[in-house]
Amino acid sequence: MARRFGLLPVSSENQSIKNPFAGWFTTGNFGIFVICAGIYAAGSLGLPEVSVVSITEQLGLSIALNTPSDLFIIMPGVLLVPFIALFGFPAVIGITLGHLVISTTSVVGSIALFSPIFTFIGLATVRYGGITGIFLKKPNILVGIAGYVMITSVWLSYVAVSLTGVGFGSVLLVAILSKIFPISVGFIFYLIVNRLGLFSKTSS
Amino acid sequence: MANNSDQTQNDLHNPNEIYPYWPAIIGVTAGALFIAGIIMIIKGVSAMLGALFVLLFVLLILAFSYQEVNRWPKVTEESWGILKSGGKTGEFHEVGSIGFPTALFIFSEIAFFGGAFAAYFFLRSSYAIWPPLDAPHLDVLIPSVQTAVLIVSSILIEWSTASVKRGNDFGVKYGFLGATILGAVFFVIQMGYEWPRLISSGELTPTSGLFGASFFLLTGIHGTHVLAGFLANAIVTMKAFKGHFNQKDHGFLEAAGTYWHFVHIVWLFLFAFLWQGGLGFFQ
Repeated sequence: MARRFGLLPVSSENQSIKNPFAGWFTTGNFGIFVICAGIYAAGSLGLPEVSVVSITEQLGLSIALNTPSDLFIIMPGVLLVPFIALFGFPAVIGITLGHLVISTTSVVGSIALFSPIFTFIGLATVRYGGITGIFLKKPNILVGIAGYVMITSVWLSYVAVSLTGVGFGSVLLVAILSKIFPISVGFIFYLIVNRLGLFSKTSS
Repeated sequence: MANNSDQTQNDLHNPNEIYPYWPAIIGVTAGALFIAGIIMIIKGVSAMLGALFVLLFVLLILAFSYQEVNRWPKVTEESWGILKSGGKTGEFHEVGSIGFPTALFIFSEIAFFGGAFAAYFFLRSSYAIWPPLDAPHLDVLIPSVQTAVLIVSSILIEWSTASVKRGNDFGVKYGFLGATILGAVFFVIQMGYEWPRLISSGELTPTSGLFGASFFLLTGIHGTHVLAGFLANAIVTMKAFKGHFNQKDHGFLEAAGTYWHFVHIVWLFLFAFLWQGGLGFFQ
């Protein structure tokens, strides 16, 4: 038993003990995970909040909603979403953790702690380029991003509707807008980075 | 020497002789006896029986330790034998993966900070509102800058780690050098600016209530870890400049990098919980 759990002293025989974290818990993956979590969380915790609702109000659009001010903020960390295609699953986990960290500070309440679950599902669709092999023959990042935007926006809208009772359709529109702005910028960066080949090796 | 080594090898090859299940069973039983004994004494059930249980626990531990200490010379001799024959302990690190000792250390650190956060939440649960009304509103500018410093340092370490696997010496050296400098910057901001500023202005001190005590305790233990990470990074940098790392042998570099990433991730939670009142909706 001690041998199985690696509790033996250093010996020649111990060389046969396999590292149980080999393959997935690498320094590279851990670094990507931490950096993504850091950027996502710091982007929301450290920077001033930009509310989509206030933007739409200033633009004179009639979708101003009586919702908590931080529900539809533009999260700069969402810029990272397209980069999941480059950095792989550690980025998915990292962004999810970053979202969990900022969810703890949400004024919406404890329901915000469920948001990272939907973020994770959405990010997983980006990672696998949509649902490859079921609906698509080849992975497509745009389909994956569209999946992410829809999944997270529907959840956000559900939260807003359950808290305020406003109409689902208009809330969904605002939610989609709050995601599309930063993701578009991130996608442009992604295309540039991809073209330059800065990250030649895709992570696991 | 050779015969002794062979004998030790044979001993280690037979797990049932050296490593039976009984130590674990006895250990759990002894632990249960100890806990039961202490409860009996504290609750006043039976001080005599409680003391007997604790005594039994001490005797079992002593007997087990005596048996284990007996084996130490064999283990030491075996280890020296491996080193003298050209074996390297560093070879037990699998290249490209975090070594088991590093992973174990990180998990122990997670448990440590988990305990600290649990204590923080337990203490603050006695308050109806958190942060308390008399607590100052802390400016997020400084922790935001510190977060940015940590993010950049993590990126540099990631660059360094990738560089060592590609044989790029420049990246190995200057990636870790940059991370070391940024580690020092973080520490100086925390301990040389933020703490003195808060304490000297009287805005927040370790004695100004539970919030102040928690703030300085948690940022203090994190700061200590930053200092340890800085020292580890400095040693890695020195070794890198001396050319000690290559594509096959860079276990220490990866271990230090992993530790630094961990220090970074803990900071995110501190930022959310201390500066932003994270999980305040559960008060």
